[in-house]
Amino acid sequence: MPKHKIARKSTNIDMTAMCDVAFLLLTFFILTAKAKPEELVTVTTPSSISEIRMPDVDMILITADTAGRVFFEMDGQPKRLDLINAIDEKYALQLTDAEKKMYSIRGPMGLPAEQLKGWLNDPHSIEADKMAGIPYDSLNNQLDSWIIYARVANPMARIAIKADAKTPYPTIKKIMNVLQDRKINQFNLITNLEANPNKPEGGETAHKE
Amino acid sequence: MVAVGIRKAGKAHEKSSTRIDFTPMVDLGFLLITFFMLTTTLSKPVTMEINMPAKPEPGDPPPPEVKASKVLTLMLSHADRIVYYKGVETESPTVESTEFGKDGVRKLLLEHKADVQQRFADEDNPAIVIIKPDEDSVYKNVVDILDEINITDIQRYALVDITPQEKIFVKKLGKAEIQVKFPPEAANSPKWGAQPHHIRLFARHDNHIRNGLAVQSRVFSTGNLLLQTQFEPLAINVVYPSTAKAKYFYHFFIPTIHLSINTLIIWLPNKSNNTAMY
Repeated sequence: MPKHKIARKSTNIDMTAMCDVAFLLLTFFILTAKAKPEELVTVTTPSSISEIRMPDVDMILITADTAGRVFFEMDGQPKRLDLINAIDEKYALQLTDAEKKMYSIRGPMGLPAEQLKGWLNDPHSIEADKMAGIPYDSLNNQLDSWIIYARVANPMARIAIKADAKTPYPTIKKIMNVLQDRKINQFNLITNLEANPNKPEGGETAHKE
Repeated sequence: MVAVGIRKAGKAHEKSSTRIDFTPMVDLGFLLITFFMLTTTLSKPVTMEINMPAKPEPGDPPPPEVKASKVLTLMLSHADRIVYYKGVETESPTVESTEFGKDGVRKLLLEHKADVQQRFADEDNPAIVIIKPDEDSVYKNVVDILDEINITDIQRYALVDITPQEKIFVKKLGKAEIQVKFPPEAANSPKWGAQPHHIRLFARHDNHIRNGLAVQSRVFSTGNLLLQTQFEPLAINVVYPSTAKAKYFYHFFIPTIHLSINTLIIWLPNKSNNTAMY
């Protein structure tokens, strides 16, 4: 019987191909990546079957947390600069150019106008969970000013309300009232996507007759 | 230096391979991929568009009247409850309650839609739904109900403030389930634990004790007592005798705030230390 000798093969694999794939994927993710937007408060939005994607630009975002605090943000640095100029004038805050610049760099904010100057000087002086929220009651309706001047700074802006699923309805109603008082009757509610029971996956909308 | 040169010269004939081990580079690549995958927002949030009716102004013409028989009013309250009636609130309508979900409000909306469509066959989708969230409802309820309206394809709906009369509807239709727990320690207390006693649990819907509509009583020394009511109780009274023969009763007055799911833990006496934990 001849001896069959199995040829010994090296266990080394050529990693070049794998390396290529890895970096290809890496390039893809770097190019498609969009950093998570800064969020001051964590808000768990309720889910809905609506499939309208939230646009990235021209948005005014009003965030309400479970405690009823309201945060305001708008996209676009130059527009934010216009906005802070108007707010500065309205509430006589006497902000310096550096402070205004700081606002235009930072996005979301949830402070009464009086505390704005201090916070813009040192953003770490007030932590997000210590922020009081923008006042929006009828006596001191600063949210209204923010919305109005934001609309002036960016007339194209659409208004979206992002609220926690557990936010009490009176809070939402007050925010809606602020908007409606300014004749803004169309706005968006930000939600998570959930499956539409009328539309099985991959199928056409099944109309119930 | 000389030594190095000699060594190099010596190795030259071994023809070292030009291949590099790529494993660490692949590791690095995948590490970075993981990082970018995790920091990228995977699911972009979606939005739900909502159109509110314009606020009426002094000079505006009165809004067009609609037939009351087309209207279904849904009132949202705490613990995800939906109370509803058809028609007009002043004509003492039948008020019922339902829940969120496929067999609850969705079925109701579909039935209402079909029913109205049948009665007004010449109109296209004539059903009207009015949504009235009360102070105890949360944002999720509103989004959920708007969702159900989109699912059932009801074209005409409105989000309106609740009226005082409707608040009473909601209150009367509340359901509560109150569980009273008697911890084992209570049974061991010198006053109480020796023998079983008769305990009564009242749920009241207003300030008069006589209006305790739901009563549950049981003889026991320890364990649980479950009380189900068909209304939203204002208060719960727990009554038990101070001694086995006594005609006097201890009363616990427990104001109820959102009692839909609740457990009261009652520590039975020690006469001096008459406390209720809840």
